[in-house]
Amino acid sequence: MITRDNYEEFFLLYVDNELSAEDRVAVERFAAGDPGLEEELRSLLGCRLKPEGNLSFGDPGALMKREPVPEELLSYIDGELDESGRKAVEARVQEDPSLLRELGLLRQTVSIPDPLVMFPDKQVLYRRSARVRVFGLPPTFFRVAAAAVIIVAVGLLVLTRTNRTGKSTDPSLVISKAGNTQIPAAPVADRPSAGGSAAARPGATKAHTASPVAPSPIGSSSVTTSLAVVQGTRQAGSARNPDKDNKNDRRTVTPRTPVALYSKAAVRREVADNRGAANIDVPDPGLKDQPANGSLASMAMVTTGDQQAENRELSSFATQALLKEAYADTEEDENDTMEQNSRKKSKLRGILRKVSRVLEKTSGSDDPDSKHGVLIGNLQIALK
Amino acid sequence: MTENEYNECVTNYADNVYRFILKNLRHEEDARDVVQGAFEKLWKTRRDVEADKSKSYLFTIAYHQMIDHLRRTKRVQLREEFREEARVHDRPAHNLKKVLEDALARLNETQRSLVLLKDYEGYSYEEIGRITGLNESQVKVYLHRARIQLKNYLVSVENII
Repeated sequence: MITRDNYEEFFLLYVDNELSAEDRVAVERFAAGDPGLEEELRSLLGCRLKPEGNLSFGDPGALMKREPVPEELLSYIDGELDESGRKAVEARVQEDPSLLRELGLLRQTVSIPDPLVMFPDKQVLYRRSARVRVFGLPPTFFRVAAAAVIIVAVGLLVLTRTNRTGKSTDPSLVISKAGNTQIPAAPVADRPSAGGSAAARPGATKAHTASPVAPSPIGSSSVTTSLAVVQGTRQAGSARNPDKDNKNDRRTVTPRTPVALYSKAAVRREVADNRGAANIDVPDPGLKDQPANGSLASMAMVTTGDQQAENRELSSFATQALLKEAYADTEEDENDTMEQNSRKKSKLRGILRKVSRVLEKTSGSDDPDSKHGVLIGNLQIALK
Repeated sequence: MTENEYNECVTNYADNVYRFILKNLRHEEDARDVVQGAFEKLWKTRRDVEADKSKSYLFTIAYHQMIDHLRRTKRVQLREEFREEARVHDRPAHNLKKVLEDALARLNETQRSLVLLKDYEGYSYEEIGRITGLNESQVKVYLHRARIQLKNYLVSVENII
């Protein structure tokens, strides 16, 4: 609020142009209301000075200052300027001798590496990491190795399955009557030969002296009796192809005979059972109607009445060979049990033996002579 | 970085690093130890280092190991200013190289390192900053300051001569 008491301050601020637009209008209205005050404001405005444009310093360059060493020169020496900056500095240096001298001095401050100063023993700095030598094998090696592993694995699998089948069908060593009706054999524990002693049975003899001949319980000539012949593993191939065998001779193994009956394992178990009793039972010829009680005498061969004698000889010879091999295997098993101290070794040996058997079986099936004979173990029996 | 690249690094840069460290420490055995330590560390961390950055990495290791060495031996010059007082007792310089070495010796470690990295190896401000742990502006200021001090020393020595 402008009054007669404070108007001078407002007039001075008005002259110095320090009032806002509203205050300036208020001051002008207040002065217009009183002619004396209006004259006073006008006189104050007249006291303001105006700049005189004709006055000048003359040579302002004389007052200008210059850096002792322009930064551009230092950057030029350090090589930190771009192309345009370098050209600008070079142009400026050419115009100013003092700058040229400065540039010369700065160039002398640049250090140059001394090539004669070298690390004295550079060999200690070189390193060589420990190398692992890898012997390269041809890719065919891995293929052959993989194939061999697969073959061995498949062979073991087949062998294992064959053994299982032989175990499960072990009691089924049968005497097939006419019509090939299979009668399950008595359990081993129930067999007289298994539990009984040699003295208890009149026909029993010592194993090493017992004749493996199985007197076939032959009935009348009109009755066809099938005597199960336990064949070696080599015969398994021919057993799978019964038609071929039947063409050659009727005396070949009955096609319906289970493969397990032809396994060595069954025979080995049989022999082991008998050896466990320290005896091999020779079935009593009089016991025609009794089952084959699990002994080797239960081996059957299809015969006719007029061929019985010949078949008996063949059966005897085949059984002898089979028993011989079975004993050999059983002895091997006994040796294996003695070597159980080195369990790892016997395992490996067992695996190798099983593999060799599989291979033996395979090679046996390819034998061209098998058409004319029966292969039991490593022996070939002519069937003429 | 492979083993071969490491060994190439030894072949190509061992002398450079050695000169850089030797000029700073002015002690051959210490310089050798620092260089060996730097290459030892480079060997251990070679799998994490790209071959094209091996030189910069090597100088970084060497610089910091040199600083550690100086701190251990308590020979770090913390003074920023140029040691003008030493100049009075200097014998006259006989050539520019010798004068320049004397001038370098009067710089503090940081300034001397910056000058050597710039002049010997031609690193940019940015690269020097990465090696020494300074920012680019600091490198520029310190380096320019060192350069002017060297120039002033040369001028003064020339005047003495």
